[in-house]
Amino acid sequence: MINNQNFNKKIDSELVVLTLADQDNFLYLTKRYENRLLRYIKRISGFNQEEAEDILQDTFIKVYQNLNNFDDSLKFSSWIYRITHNQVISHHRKIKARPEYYSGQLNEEILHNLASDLDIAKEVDKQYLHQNINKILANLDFKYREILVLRFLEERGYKEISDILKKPAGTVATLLNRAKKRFTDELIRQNINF
Amino acid sequence: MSKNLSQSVQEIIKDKKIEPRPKWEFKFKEYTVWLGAFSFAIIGGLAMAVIIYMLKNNDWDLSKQASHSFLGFIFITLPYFWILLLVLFSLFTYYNFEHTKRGYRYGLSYILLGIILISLFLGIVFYNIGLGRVMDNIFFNRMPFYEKIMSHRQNIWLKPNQGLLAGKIISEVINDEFELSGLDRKIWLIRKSKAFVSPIIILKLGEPIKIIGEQIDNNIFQAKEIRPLLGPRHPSLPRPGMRMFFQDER
Repeated sequence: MINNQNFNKKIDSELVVLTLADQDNFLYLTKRYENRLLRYIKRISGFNQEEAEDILQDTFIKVYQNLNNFDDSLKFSSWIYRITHNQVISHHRKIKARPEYYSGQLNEEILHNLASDLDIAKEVDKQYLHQNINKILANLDFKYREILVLRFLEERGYKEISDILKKPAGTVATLLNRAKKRFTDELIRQNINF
Repeated sequence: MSKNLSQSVQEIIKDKKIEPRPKWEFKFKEYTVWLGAFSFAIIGGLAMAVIIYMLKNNDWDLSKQASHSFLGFIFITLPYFWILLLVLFSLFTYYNFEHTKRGYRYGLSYILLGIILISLFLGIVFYNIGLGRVMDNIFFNRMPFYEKIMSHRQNIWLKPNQGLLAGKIISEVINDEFELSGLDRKIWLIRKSKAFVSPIIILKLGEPIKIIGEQIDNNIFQAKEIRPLLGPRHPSLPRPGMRMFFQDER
């Protein structure tokens, strides 16, 4: 096994090769993605900590089993997010429940970016957004919620989202526009009823 | 649990002796999907070749006579069976292509446009090497339902009141007259005086012909033009949609 210092310098695809040579090295990959993916699962699904961890555990095992299928033309992060996305969908299908929503701690910069990208001009709406983003996202369809999470909370680019969701870039752009509109509508609707 | 999640994953992998699936499994799956896409595209190309073959042998010059409008004529004579097959295999090709490793990167319209262009290209190539005609004949010989499905194309030659008649000569030609057994087995007396007879046919007993002319009486037809029924001469490969009538003779 490589030592910790070397591990920090290795890029994901190098760790994949090292893991295929020695299973112990997989730990470095899982540690690198554990928190990010756990947060992502909770953000798109709203599952509680325990359920999200179960899904992540299954995800990591699936990733390990499919390491030989990792495509170099993709970012490893896109590939692992894709597998996570599939695991969440499959878990959703199993339980068929509409979960409570969780977004975790959002920093001010993300909220600011989200507000300006959504063209939210009214201060009252901005304030409501800061306080109730979870509630707004929770009321959106899964496909809209997920694409908003990927773009604004996970800060993924269009190409990455296209690779994660396995949709053409044009479809991603259309879906994102629709999602933003739904989000804004929901924000206004909730703020008015508040 | 979260602090130890990565560790517990390691333990599960070790305890259950989980191994990465071998590379060849993924390669095999990928090649199978591609092979499927290519195979379906080739079948689509063959269907396109038959469509081209049928459209080229469609008596377009008679469209006004055979139907009240050009669109109506197209509607009557389109080879629906082959069009359906083309659509079906184009969809199979699309499905397989979309399931290749990078197929998802292309939009539906681009993939479909690509499939249409490939089918057209393959269809023209296959048609030019004669596969359109061969495919039509194979289906005719091996699929009992095929001639029935395609029979709508011969119905335009069952319209003597509109000047269109086809069948087989069943008598000698005497004084510019002969008898014809129509596609519906009705017996007609044909008058051919002043009719243009295609130079590639000889009006002899048993000859299958198409006649453009005018119905004079219940069973008398005045010919203006006589054409071969079976298209370009080829003893084993008669004209598409015109063989039911001759089936019992082979």
